[in-house]
Amino acid sequence: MTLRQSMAGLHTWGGLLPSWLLFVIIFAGTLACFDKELERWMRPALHTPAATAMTATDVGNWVQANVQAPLHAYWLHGPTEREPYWRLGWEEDESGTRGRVAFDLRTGRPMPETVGGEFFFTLHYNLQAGTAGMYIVGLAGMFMLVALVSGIIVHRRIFKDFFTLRPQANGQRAWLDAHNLFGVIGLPFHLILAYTGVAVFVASYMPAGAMVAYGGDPLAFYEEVQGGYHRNELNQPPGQFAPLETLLTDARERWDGAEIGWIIVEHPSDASAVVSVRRFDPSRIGSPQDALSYDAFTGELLHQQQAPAGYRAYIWLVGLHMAQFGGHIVRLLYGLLGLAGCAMLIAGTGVWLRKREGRQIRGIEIVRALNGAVFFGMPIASLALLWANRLLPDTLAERGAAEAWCFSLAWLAVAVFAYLSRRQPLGLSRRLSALLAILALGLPLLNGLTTPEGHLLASLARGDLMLAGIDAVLLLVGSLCAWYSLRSPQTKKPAREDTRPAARQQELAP
Amino acid sequence: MILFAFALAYLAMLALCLAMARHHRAVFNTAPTPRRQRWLRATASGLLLGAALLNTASSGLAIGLVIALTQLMFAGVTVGLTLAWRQRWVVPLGALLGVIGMLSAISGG
Amino acid sequence: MTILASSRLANLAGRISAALFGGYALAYGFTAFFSVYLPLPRPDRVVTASLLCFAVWVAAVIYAFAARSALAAWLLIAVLATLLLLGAYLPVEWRTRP
Repeated sequence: MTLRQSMAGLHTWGGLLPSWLLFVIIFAGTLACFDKELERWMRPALHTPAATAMTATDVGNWVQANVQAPLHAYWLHGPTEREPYWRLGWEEDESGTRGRVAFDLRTGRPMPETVGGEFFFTLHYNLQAGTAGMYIVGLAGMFMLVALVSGIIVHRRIFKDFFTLRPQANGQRAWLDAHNLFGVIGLPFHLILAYTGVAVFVASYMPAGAMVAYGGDPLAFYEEVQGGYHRNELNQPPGQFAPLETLLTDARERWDGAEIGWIIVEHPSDASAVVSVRRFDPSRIGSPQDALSYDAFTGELLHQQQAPAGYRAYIWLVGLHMAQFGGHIVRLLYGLLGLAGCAMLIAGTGVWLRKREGRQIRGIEIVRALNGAVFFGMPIASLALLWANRLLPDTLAERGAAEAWCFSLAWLAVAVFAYLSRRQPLGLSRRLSALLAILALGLPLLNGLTTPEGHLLASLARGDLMLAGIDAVLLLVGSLCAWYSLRSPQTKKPAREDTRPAARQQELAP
Repeated sequence: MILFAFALAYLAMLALCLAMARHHRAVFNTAPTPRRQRWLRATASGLLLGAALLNTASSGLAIGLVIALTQLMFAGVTVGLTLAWRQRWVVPLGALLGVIGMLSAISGG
Repeated sequence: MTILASSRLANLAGRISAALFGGYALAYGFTAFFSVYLPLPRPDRVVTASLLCFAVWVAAVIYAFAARSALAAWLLIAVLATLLLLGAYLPVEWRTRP
């Protein structure tokens, strides 16, 4: 077996098998580029700007008053341009249960619960499946890297075919052209995002370094590599907390007026409580690593973070992946290239299917069912989530869980439909496109009916381009899907007699 | 400025594309002479450099290069897709983007 | 199953296991080895070696399928991994140096 043949096999199967999982990951990641904008869309209280008198101290007081269980830590973040509200999260000491709350700046009270745009971000990095999901995503990332490298080795005319796309060519050729176009032109993006994506959780995926150089003590590793501060619990009751705002004023002074980011209060139920303050700076790729640590009661500065070069390099790579730098243009470009990645996956399965068309392989039906279930299921479920967000009553208990259920049930319904229709792929894609169109076009309308300040006309009138952008994209996607599902079905071209010499036919392998 | 940089990125990819005989023939009905191919590739390099410079000037070195590279990739996909379905638009689109880009740069974009 | 089919299955299983498990072991050995021997301060050694390990795993996977045989694939990967792991774990005092 030649190198090309073995790599072709590796690329075909190593690429096909994780395709659907990778689609979920990449599609969710694409949506997550705008997770903060989606979160605003999903929280009507945030549709119009509001001035606020709410401070970090207020949030801290809310925690003391409303969260009974002793906490391992809690963390809060003040309003920013993209997230104009106070955010709070906590972790309980005993059970490790986490909670989160978002505060309406006008009233100082928690807003109705929603999974928010963060749902897509979490779906992206752990499939909403905790630690196990995180490892599955990591493995999928490795499969993607192998598929990219093997694909490069296999590609015969990588420069000559750079811009080539012949939609009218016979089935497999057209799909292969598309797969190559999106794959090769986007190659730097796909490679860098796959690698940096896996690198984010390097400490979990590859513990060897901590094992060998730190005597198997991960906490010692984290403390030294982050250059941060840690104080052991004294197992004594806490004293009187210094108001958080005084600490923040001190931090701003030390940083020459920089903007405050995350505020983390560790061991708040213990006399060893420490408040760490981080800087917020989206003007650089890597987030700042100069956190200040204060004694929670006296307000005394205990430590300023001294991150070693290696960690700052790691943070830069993480930042490159997260796209929270450089403004909306960076996220827009990442989002478009993410869609190119999705297109590459879809075209890849298209190549596999077309090559085996007409043959009685059991796999064909499974692949068609999966294609329908995932390539349509994911977008439809995402829209169902947004519909649920608008329709579920604010006072519903466990409202976030209800939204997530709507997402899951919609996906399940699409998957069942795709399985039942697996023998009529054209009908399947037209019907699911029609459903997608109805959901996408209907959402801005629903928006208009349910949120007076949040719909397209209102947000445009205010100059709120990011909010308007979401509805605009919905209308665009809906129109495209409607066009696709309504156009007259093209009679399938009979597969042309392949009269070219055998050597040329080989090009179309695998 | 970023919009103008994208226009340059599109034109760079278009030049690179038209330097290839197959695509030149598809758009202009004639094969490109070797001189034209060299000229197109040189222009593409210049436009590419221009896009990188404009982006780094407006967004800093690291972020500017990220924007330049992602713009280039998106521009390449745009050229490829336009060439596949609306061949006659691929050059006028470049001209249009160029005009929009220049206007946006002049108006302090 | 014919002899041919079962030997092809064995070949495939051998290469897949070499890629998946052998590859991870190689990446682990690589990380451990260079977390000890890179001429950098300890946290930087660990970060650098760890961030590079994914490239090593990918290379191992490519090799596992490019090698002449599944046995050849396993042999090289296992030998390299063993050497790296031994080199990493033997110098007990030196590997935890700051």
